Amino acid sequence: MILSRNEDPTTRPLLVETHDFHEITEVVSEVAERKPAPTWLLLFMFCGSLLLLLTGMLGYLFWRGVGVWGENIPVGWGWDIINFVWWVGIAHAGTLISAILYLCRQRWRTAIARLAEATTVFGLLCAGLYPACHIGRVWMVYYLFPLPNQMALWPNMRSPLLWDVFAVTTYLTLSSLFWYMGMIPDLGTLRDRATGKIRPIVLGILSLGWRGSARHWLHYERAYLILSAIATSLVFAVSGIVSIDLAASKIPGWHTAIFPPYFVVGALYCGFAFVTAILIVTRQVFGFQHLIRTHHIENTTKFTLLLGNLIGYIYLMEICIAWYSGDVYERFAFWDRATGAYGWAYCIMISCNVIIPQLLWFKKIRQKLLVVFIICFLINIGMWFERFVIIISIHADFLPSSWHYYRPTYVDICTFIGTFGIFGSCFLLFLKFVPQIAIAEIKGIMPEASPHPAAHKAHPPHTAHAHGSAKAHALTDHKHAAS
Amino acid sequence: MPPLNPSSENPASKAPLPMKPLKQWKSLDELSGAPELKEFVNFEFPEGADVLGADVSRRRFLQVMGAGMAFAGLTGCKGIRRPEMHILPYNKMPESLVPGVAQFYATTLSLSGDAIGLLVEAHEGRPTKIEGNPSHPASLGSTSRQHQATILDLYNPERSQTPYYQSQPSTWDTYGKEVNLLFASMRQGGVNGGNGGEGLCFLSGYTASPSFRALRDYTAQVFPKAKWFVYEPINRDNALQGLYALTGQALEPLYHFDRAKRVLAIDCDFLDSEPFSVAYARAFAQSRNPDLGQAGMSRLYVVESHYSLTGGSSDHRLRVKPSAIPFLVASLAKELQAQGLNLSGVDVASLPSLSTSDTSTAWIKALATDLIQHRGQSIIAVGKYQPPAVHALAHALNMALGNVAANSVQATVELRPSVVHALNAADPKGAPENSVASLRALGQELDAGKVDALVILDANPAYSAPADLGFAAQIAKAKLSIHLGPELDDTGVLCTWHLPMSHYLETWGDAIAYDGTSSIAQPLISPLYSTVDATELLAALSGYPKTQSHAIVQDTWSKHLGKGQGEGQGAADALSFEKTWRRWLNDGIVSAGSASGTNAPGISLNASSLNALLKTFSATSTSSTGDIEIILREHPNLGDGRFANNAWMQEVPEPMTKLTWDNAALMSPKLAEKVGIRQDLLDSDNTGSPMAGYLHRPMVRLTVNGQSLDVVAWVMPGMAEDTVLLHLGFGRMHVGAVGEEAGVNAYTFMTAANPFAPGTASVGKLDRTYPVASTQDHWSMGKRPLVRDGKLDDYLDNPTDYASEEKWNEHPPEQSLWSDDSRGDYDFTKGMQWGMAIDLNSCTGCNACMIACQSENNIPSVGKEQVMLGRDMHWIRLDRYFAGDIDDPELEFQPMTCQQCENAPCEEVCPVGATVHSHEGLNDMVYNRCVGTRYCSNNCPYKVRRFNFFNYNNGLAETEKMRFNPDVTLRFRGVMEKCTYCVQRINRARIDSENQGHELIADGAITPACGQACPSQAIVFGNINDPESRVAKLKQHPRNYGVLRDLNTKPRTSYLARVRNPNPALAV
Repeated sequence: MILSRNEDPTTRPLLVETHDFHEITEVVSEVAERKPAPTWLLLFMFCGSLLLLLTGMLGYLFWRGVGVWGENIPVGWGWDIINFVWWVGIAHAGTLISAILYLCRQRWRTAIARLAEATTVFGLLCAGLYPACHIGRVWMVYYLFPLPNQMALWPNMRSPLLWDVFAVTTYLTLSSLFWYMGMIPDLGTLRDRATGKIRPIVLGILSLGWRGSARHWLHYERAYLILSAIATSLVFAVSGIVSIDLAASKIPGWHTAIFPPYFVVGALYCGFAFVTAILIVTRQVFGFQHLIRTHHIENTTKFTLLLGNLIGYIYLMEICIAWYSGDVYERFAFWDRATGAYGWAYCIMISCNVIIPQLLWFKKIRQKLLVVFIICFLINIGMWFERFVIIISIHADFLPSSWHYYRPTYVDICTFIGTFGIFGSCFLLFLKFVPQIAIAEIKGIMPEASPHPAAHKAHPPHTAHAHGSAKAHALTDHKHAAS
Repeated sequence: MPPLNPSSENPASKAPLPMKPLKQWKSLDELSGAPELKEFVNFEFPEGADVLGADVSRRRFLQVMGAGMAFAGLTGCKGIRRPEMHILPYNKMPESLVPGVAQFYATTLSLSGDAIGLLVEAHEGRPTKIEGNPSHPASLGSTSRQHQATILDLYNPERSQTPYYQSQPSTWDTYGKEVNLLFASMRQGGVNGGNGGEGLCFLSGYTASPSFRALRDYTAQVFPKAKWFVYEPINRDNALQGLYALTGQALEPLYHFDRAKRVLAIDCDFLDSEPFSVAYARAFAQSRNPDLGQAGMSRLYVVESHYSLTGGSSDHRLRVKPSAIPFLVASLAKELQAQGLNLSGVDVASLPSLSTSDTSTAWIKALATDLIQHRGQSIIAVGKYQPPAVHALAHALNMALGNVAANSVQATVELRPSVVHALNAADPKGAPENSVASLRALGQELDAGKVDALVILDANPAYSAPADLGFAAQIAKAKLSIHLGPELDDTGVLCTWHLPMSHYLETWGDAIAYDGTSSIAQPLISPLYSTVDATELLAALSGYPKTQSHAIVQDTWSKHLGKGQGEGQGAADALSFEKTWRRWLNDGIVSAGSASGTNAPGISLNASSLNALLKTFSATSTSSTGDIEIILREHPNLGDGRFANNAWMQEVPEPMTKLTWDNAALMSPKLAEKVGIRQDLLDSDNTGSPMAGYLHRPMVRLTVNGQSLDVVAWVMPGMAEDTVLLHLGFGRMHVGAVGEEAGVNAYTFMTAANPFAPGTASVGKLDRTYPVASTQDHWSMGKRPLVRDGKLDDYLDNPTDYASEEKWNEHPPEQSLWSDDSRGDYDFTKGMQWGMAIDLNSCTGCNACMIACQSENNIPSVGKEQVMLGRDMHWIRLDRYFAGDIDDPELEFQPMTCQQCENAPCEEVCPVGATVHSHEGLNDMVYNRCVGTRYCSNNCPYKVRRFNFFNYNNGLAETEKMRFNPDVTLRFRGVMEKCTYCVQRINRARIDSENQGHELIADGAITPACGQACPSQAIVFGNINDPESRVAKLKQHPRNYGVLRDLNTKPRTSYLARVRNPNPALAV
């Protein structure tokens, strides 16, 4: 993999605590090869039952109509869009961590990138579910796509909701590709180790004939670089477009120019917190302490802190602009958010998103993984409430005569819980069947990967040749493993 | 049209008849005649299967054809095909019927003796929509919400469809066997000589029908010993008795609000719930034109204890406790006399004085001055709930003020012979009777066991009688009781027989309206079930020679015509009657009452009886301060309870509280606090957003005269202090699925002595709460410039600034980034461009438009739970705001419907293009295209879009499907809908106009349902591109403004700012 030009792996704290290439291969592959542990099975059954719950709720929704949810006029969107935006946010950090850190040559990313990308893909699955099923006539959902038809009717290109459809589907396609492509060398490793009849065939197909040749690596890295670049721009575009759903409307509290950057920051913030929490759990459950180190967690928490403060700034700026606008509706909307019927939600939002994360300034706290986990968990709750506060602020818009309280029904709640079934099931399958940690990349950042460990300082820039030799090491390891 | 039964089609008939048989062959083998092939062919096509194929004679053809048809019929018997159905095409095409084109028939509706002329729209024989008859003085083309809702009763699947014997379904045959002989034996000179109706009692409500009265008189002849009682819960006894004391005649007042400059309404909701109120609302609106200056605009003073719609339209409103109102009128009389009004004959001195507050003293002083300054041009109107003495005194004041002038062309108050009295009193020339006394007398008969047969005609006294009479229990004491009514109601279940009653659209009838206009009621449809109307039942019981209502009504009117034309017999007369009759049916009126427009002759003030009546003032007394008084009033929607099973009436919000599906103990904010109800629980604070707890409100226990009711409390700003209002009409025990569990029965508190103000109440807060469904949870519009409202003087000083954005909007209007001509496809300056103007100065907030719209546009009712969730479906709603002091606020109404924005926010955000603009400026909804993202609704600043959260049209009875307007699509679940400006009416007018060769549709040819029903004609619709159209002129009016126009939505609906005309002497 790409090695940073000015770094010496030997002089930095070890990113990976392990002995040799083979051990990494063993540790990661073994998870995918051995029989599922009872805990895994138990967890999978639990997530499966959540999935069943979701299926039941969606079935009920499709049978009866959107009325089984709590929405009303004026609150036309409730938990469906809140959860959609929330899941989209969660889906963002994965790509960001993976792609942006990759582009920035942040090599510590390797240990966590795969997990983060998986979060993206599965998060997007959960998110994408909502716009599809929240519509009144769900059997007509294909109207949202520009399908040629004999009536020559096309979707309304002016509608932000349509941009949403494109943005989310593009992002889902791309992040899946990105995730899958990053996995190809590791799938090759698994294939080479595979025994039995079906397994080698399936893995053989999935690894697309990966042989680990230098030419393969060259193409692979170019493609990975390009996909990273596209994915990075998509991170900004998708959340921005999702925010435009609201920002392009007329509604006070929605009609705000700050929304695109606000939502991007919010998405990254909640995504980082989510990934951090997932990392902490995964490393505990699978015993990857030597691969996902406290150092990694600390890095993500620092990002989280930065984003949390950005969010706090945006909250402040929003209120300031509402006051400065002089618009009676705008002013009321923000006043109402903080002091009105949903003031409690606003309080949760501020405390979870702005106040509590301030604890992360302290190194001692950053290194206490349980505390970090709790903080990350609270941030995710806070970010959910941020979406709640924003979207539900429509309950009191222009004409007081139409103001109405909104509350979710049990179907709303169970559907949301059910989406964790999608996420959990997919994630567990991922953990079980594919390498959770990028084996090849990890090897690339091990001291052994450096072709000139001793002479490093004398030859700062790595050459393409040096690259090749790093890969050669990995390749060697492949052969070892296969034999 | 159901499809033709496919099995009845003979396939053989399609086979061509060969003119010249040709040898046909399928292959060369066949041609060669190979035997194997023949066998094969025979197997595939058995002999005879192609019997018509080759040589066929005409005779053979007919044989096969006949057999085929017979067999086709047999297949139907097997039950494997769809059941055979018969369609009957028009043998003779009915005159002027074009399928798909609605027809309108004039008819008449009377509710509680108050008649109104209607034009009813029918589609292929199904009445679908009620409209007012423009030539009927009680309607002038408008209707109230209740009138509109009667169409729903016709198709109500829970109507009685057969007779019921002791609440069990029975048949007319059984009924006939049981009852006919009995009545025949009671008739004078009937079987066995008859007993003359000894022990026979009739009970009816108010009728407006002269035919019914004629039959009643006939019945009295046939059963001379029978007794007839009239009980109408919401009656006009007080006015009749007051005026009888004053003048010695049975009179009722007819007010001419259009002529009045000053109006005082004493607990008189003449804009909404008094008889003739539809016409009153129009006349009053005419007197409120601020453009004519000070002289052109009347001033309305209202004295009342609760907030009525009339109070909402007032310039000055004085809220006083119910018991204080008579004293206030007495004080006014004294003040008027003190200011020099000649009240000769009225014993003013003996009238009690009211120890009133300074406010009301000043108020009365200013009012008296104003009235005296406008002698002959003022009206003092008294409401039906006020005691007779108040009526008497008020009309004595009217007389003294010269309002009851001899020259009726200028009179503002006409005292006319009462129609209700003439048609319902035992002695039409005698003194007015008392409804409650009548019922009590019947009860005494029943108690004494003297009643062999009791016939209750279209009344529900078991529910609506004062509770202390115990009438429901007394019914059982009759040996035989027969109840005629539209549904098996509280009275029906107690009677031996309940008979199903025809709807007024199913039967012939007639009516005399409040102003004396008489009209015929013709049916629009033959009875859906085996039902009779009251006249027919009476004819059957009394053995009247004619049994059909058509013949009975014709009888009445041919006699009437005969009287008018002198003696005359013979075929020529019959022909001329037929012609006249047809003209009456066509016009919808027989003769206009108010056209003759005279006071009853010889009205003079009868001082002695007046003063005797006024003595009752001192007999009553105001309650001591701190006592809580309770008043009972008919519900604005349900009336006395007759509309309790009408979903439209249950779901359209009560105009003031915006409550649906329930009644509540209405009380002022101060009283609520005193009772211990926390303000934030009763309503979200005045400017905030709705709170979580608003769906469940605290309950109180009301105790009046030892009777208790647990009812939800509702804070109603503007209620008099220490006063509780409970609406009647709810809580019926025996009502269909719609009215079940809706509200509490306020008749529990009604006493015979004082029906509508039964005394003082104790109010105790309960720990329970009750779920309420209110369509608007907000009192105030904050500082938003939604309803623009000001004083006449300000308007006259500077009309252009009166409603301007600059004056009302702090925030500068948003600017468009686009130039106006960038819309490409749309040129809003060409062709017909539809627009609407709503005059807030005329709108009374009565909700008639809501029901008219619901009826026209097939809008479903969704039920209480859905309303609680904020999913009511009305396309037009009445926004109600309170302004000013929350204890004594002013009221603002604003009809809110789709504004048909030129820059429609909904259109931009719809991802599938389901809501798009038309070239005529309509914001169209394409239901087929809509997938239901609800984005359009979110982005609508006016929140007028309605979403089908469920399939609200699911599971309708067959009859309910009949009421739908075929010109309007029924919406499925998951689809957004909203006001279309009644696009189906626009298109109908376009077709008509183009047929007549006009390029443009004439102004006034299109009236949306809301505008058509509006009693005060506040809604004007038309082509804004035509500078001569009414709407275009209104749009140029200085009072014209657009709601939220600063958002650059360019709404096509605009509002005319309201103008109040307060008395400068009362300026705060």
